[in-house]
Amino acid sequence: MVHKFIMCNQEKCTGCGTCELACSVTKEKTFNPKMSRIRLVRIDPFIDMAIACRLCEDPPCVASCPRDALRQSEENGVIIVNDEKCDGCGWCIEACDFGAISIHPDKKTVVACDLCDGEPLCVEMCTRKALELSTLNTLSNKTRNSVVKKLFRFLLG
Amino acid sequence: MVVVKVFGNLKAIFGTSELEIDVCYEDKTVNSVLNVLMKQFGESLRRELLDSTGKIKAVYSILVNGRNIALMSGLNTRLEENDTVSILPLVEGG
Amino acid sequence: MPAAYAGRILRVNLSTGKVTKQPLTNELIKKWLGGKGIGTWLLYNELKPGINPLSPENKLIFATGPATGTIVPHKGYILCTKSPLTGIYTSSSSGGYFGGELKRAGCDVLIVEGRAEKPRYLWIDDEVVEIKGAEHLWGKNTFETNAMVKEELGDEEIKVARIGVAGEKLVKFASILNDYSRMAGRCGPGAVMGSKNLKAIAVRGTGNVEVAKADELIDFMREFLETVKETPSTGTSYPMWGTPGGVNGANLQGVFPTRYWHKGTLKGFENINAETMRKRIVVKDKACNTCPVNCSKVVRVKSGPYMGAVLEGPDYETLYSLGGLPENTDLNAIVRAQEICDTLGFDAMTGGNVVAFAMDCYERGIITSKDTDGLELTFGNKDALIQMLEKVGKREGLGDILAEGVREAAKRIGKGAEYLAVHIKGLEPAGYDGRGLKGVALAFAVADRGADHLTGSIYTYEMRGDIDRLAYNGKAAFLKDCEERFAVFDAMVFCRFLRDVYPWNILTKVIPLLVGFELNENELKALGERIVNVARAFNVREGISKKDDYWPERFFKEPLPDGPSKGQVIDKEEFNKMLSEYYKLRGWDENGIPSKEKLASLGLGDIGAQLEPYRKE
Repeated sequence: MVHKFIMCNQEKCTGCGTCELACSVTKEKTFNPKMSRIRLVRIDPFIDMAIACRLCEDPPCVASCPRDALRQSEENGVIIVNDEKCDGCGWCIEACDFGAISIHPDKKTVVACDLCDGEPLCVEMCTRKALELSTLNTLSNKTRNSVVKKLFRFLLG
Repeated sequence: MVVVKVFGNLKAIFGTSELEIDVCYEDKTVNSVLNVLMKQFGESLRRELLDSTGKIKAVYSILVNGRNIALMSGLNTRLEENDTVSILPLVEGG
Repeated sequence: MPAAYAGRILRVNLSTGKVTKQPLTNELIKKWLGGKGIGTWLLYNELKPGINPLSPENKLIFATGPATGTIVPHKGYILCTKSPLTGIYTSSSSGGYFGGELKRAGCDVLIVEGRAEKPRYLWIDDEVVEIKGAEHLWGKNTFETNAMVKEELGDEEIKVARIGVAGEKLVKFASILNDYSRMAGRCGPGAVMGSKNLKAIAVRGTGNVEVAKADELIDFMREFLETVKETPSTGTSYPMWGTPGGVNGANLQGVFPTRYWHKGTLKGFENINAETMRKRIVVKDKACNTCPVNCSKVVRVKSGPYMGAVLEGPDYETLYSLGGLPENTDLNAIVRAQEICDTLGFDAMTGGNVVAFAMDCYERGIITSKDTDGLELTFGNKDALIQMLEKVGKREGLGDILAEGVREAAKRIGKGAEYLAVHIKGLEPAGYDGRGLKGVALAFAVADRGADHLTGSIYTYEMRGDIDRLAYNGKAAFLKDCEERFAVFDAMVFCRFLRDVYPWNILTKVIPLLVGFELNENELKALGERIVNVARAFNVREGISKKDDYWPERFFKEPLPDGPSKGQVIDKEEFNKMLSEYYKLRGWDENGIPSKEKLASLGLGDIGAQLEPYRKE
């Protein structure tokens, strides 16, 4: 099953932070980047990039949970958290290679990007179209396309 | 002869930033200079400089000797020998 | 309490160590909205006239606005204080993320008062406020300070406003930097902070920012982002070229200040324009809070003697001050020069002005290599420019005199230097020559903090040809409307570069979605007018009047010598007419003092009475 997830093109990202606020207003009805499930990393001055759950094929967060509080959706691959079982131990956070799962400051259970209803606001409002909801193979395809176009740009005029 | 100076993306299209244009005496206006340029540089210039209705894109300003044609007679602004016509992206600064 | 506000003023007294939390009242919000509105009102009321800006009696007011921390694109905060450079009012806007962090920490306005006995930094961790020792930070540059504070507090996401060595040494135009190199740049707020022995302010804010109508705000944003894309300045020019896009137009129209304001066109300006930047040194684009314009460019010098120099910039203003004024057409050298200003923490606009002024003096023999410690301070000598800027930031040698600003430096140097010095009310101008831009001539003359381009921002319309830059007629009325709309921008904390997409009717649309109450166009204009008047009142109390609303005599007497604006001067008679018209439209008397009637009509009757001693008969 090839999952779609939200990926950020670092070359386009300007670090504006719209994605974080789009997420927090959608999920939490407020503006607070620390309540967002997509998180921007700014390494000044050269690097801006947003990271959201990558819906791994074999999610280490799910495997690591001592209480089986996490499972991966069969349908779209998102991580589903059982708030009753989750006790906020954070072992999944240590397991995740990307820092894409985090503790909700109020609920004290973990949250991760769940792609909203399939039309995430962060992707819609990204000011530079750096965010895409896409699959890895599509990304791979695009990269191939783009490099070939670049190598032979003199033929394209 | 008038001197035409270009900036922004136009430099790549022109292959240079400055060139001299000869326009016939009777119709020495900014408009006639543009027609000569369109003939010379074709589709790529048309695409960059004009919008879908054939007007100059709002992002471009045209100056004659440092004066904006919008404050003179627009594209019908008359030109004298050795005038400089500059075409450049909308200028803001700040 | 209206939405979009934390509801609190945080007051820190460094003399007593006392931290006070006060409510931000409904009354203040309704009358002043936020940002420059609240900041100016507080500054006017809390400072007595005549205080020394570097004394404990001065205050630093960091004022966020209702847009801060929300999804509507905005700058960060407005800094209000009394300027040590000019001795009058100043407000400075800073982009980046520090302002949002302050609001999330529960603070709409931060006021810093008094003076610490030893170097300190402020740590605002949501509700908890500490004044911590900063002796180990004293002497560190702006970038080092940022890194060290974040490391010792153990959180990379903390935002730090800080000064560098220039602020510590009270360089009169030292800046306060936040994030990478965003700053409250002009007029010396960094020196005020240094005089308080305050090295840095670190903030962590984990709270929420609410707005009145979140769903409608998102709908508004969808439409707004479309408009931004379709508008040339916000959709194409600024994103693609940034402010450096102005270099071509300014030179082609002969108004690019060159050779210390003696010329209007820089030979070789193509070497330092936006296209050359993109081709040779731009590495990425950067944006402030949720801004779709991303005008900022990050650059790296890839070869040559300045290889490795890194900068968020240069912008139009520094290309003029470090390129045009010293006649330096080496883009890499400009990057290096501005990097020094940012590292030491001082305003590169004033920096370029004072060094180019010194070059002018040197070329005329008013100062010699004895004064410059052997530096050959001639126009075009970019290494001398770079070395002198470093001396200015550290107050070394001639740099110690130049660090006072051009007005004071000229006084100390004497021998005719005062005639050369270019400033209005003690502030060196932004990069537009008033001889070729008559609206700019008026705008710089009357702006609240001195020869400033942002207060009125009329330069945009003249540079673009929306209005005739060589005409005097109609400029006073046009400027008045600009000043008021942009004062409202500064109250919201909106960025000037969205000026084309925030006409009055869009401002009235977005404000209620944020704060939950409405302000119609007339009420917004009145707010703008109130802000302009209180800033003017502050200045009147410091002795400002009509005599100070003038460019130096040079600009009335010496025409631009060549280029597209050859022969242009500011015509004294026409200028006086424009100025009188401006005063009349503003309801100020013939001496430029706001009248009792005007102030009363704005609900500022008390100020009307307070200004009585300053009115002539």
